[in-house]
Amino acid sequence: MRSVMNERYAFDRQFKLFKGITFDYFAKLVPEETPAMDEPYLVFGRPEVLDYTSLVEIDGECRGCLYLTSPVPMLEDLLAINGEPDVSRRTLLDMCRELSNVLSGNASQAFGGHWEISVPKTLDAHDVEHLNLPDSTFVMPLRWREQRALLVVGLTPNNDSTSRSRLLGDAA
Amino acid sequence: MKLLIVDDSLVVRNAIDRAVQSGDVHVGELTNVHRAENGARAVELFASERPDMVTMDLTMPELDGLGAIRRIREIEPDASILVISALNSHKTALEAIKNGACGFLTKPFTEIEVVDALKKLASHARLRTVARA
Repeated sequence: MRSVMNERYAFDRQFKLFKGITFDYFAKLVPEETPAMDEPYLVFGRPEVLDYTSLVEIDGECRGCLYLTSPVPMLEDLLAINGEPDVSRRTLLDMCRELSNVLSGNASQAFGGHWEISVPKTLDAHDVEHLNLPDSTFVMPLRWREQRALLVVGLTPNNDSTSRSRLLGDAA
Repeated sequence: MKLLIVDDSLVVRNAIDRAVQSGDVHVGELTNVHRAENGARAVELFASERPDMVTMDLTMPELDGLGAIRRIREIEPDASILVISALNSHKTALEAIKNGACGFLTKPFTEIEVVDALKKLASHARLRTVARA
C-alpha cells in the first residue's frame, strides 16, 4: 500500500514539475500563447513517435530519461520564436535536442542540483521501441498552436541497479 | 573585443550571435565572434584567438563546460566567461563560479537577458584590460 502511495506521490511530483517547466518555457519566449497539457498517461505497448525525437538521460537523485517527440510544424514555430530563419533538417533536429535539454536541465533546481543530464541524443522510431523504460514512465501530451508533441518522463529513485547503458539498450 | 560562443546547439549559437550583433545593442566594441560546438574546440579556439569574452554551455560532448572553463583558466586565469546553461540550480551556478565563471544565465533566455549579461561581461573584460595596463 505504501509503495503504491509513494509511486503516486512520485508521479504527481514529476508531472507537476515538468508541466511547470514546460509552461515556463513558453511563458518566457511566447507569453501571449500559452500551451495546453492533456491528461498524462502511462506508456503501454509501443510508444508513439512523431517526426523528431530527442532523449536526455538523467542521473542523480533520480535516474532514467526524458524524451521529447515532436511534429515538424511545432519545431518550425519554435525555431521562429528563437529567431532562427533556417528550417532545415539540421536545425529541426537541433531545436528538438535543445528543447529536451532545457526541459530536463530546468528540473535541476527542484532536486537541489543533484541532477545530471546527458547531451541530448536523436532517436528514431526503432530506437524508441527498444528503450528499456521504467514501468512508471508517463507521457505528457503538449498542445501548442494546434500542434501536439509528447514529453515522455521515465524516472526512478536512484537506489536500484538500472544503469544508463541498460536504459538505452539497443539505442545506445 | 572578441567573443567566443560555445554551445553544442547551432540554434543557441545563432541566437546569441544575433543578440550581440543586433543594431540596437552594443556589447562593447565587438570585432570578431568565434563559435565552438564543444568544450575541446572551445579550448583550441581560446588558445589561438584569445577572445576577450566567452559564453559557455555546460552540457556538451567531448569536453563539458566546466572542464573547458578549467582549461581556459590555465591559459588565461582572468578570462571573462559567462555560463549559459539549462541546469538552473544554485549548486550548478556556484560550481561554475567556483571554477572561474564570472556570470551565470539560465536557458531559456530572452535577447534582452543575454545582451544584459554580456554587457556585464564586457565590463569585466574591460576592467581586466585596464588593470593590466
